[in-house]
Amino acid sequence: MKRRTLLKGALALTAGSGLLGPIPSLALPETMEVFTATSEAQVLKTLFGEARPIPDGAVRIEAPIQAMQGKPVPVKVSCVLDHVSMIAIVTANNRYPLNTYVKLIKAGGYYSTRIRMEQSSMVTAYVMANGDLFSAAMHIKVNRGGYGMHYE
Amino acid sequence: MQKVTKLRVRETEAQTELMALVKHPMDAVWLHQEGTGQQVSEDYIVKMSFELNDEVVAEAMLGPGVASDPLTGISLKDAKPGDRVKVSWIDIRGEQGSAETIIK
Repeated sequence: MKRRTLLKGALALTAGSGLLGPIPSLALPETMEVFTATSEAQVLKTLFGEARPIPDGAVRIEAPIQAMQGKPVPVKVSCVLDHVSMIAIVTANNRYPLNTYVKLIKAGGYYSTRIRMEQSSMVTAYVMANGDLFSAAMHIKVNRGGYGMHYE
Repeated sequence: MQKVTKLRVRETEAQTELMALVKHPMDAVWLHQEGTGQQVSEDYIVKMSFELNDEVVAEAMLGPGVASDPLTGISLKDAKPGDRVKVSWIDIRGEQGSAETIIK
């Protein structure tokens, strides 16, 4: 009897202290909006305002042409432009297209990361330099299953 | 899980690259299939700051669109041997981590 009550008490204590319940999140409000945008146009508008992207050879995106589902996809963005202030990586077919972006204050025009991809998609790198927006894109195929047999 | 942070400097001919690796699940509710009854809570890094000699040079904003154990790289302009570099991050739960090293 004693052991029973003790167990019950312990359980109630853990549940009450919030260890089992959902943990309240503290997102940065400025990033929350853009990371939950559901279309690429919306992401661009929130991040860069009215600037129109220009596809430019000065921006280079390096990534594998195909990837396994559920595996990280390494993406490298580099550019030969000066005064780069921001680089964003966007996967058009993801539920929330924006993967990540970086504000460059005193760093070169380079960003590398590993992104998540839900399905085959265009991956676009947007680079803000000198107040102009440049972009480079490539298509990455996501294979379901192994050996690259089941293409989407 | 211990969220370990590592910072590495990689020198190539063209640039000095600063790479930060954090052991972090980068988890979000929408990544899991609905109806499995799994208890998932949001846990991802929202911001990663890179510092060169106590001055912020780059701020990376991350979300669940970045794979778990994020490896983030930026390039440094005019970094010299002996300079102190630091990375610090904060996740959506308010947990923080940092690592620093000296450029050789």
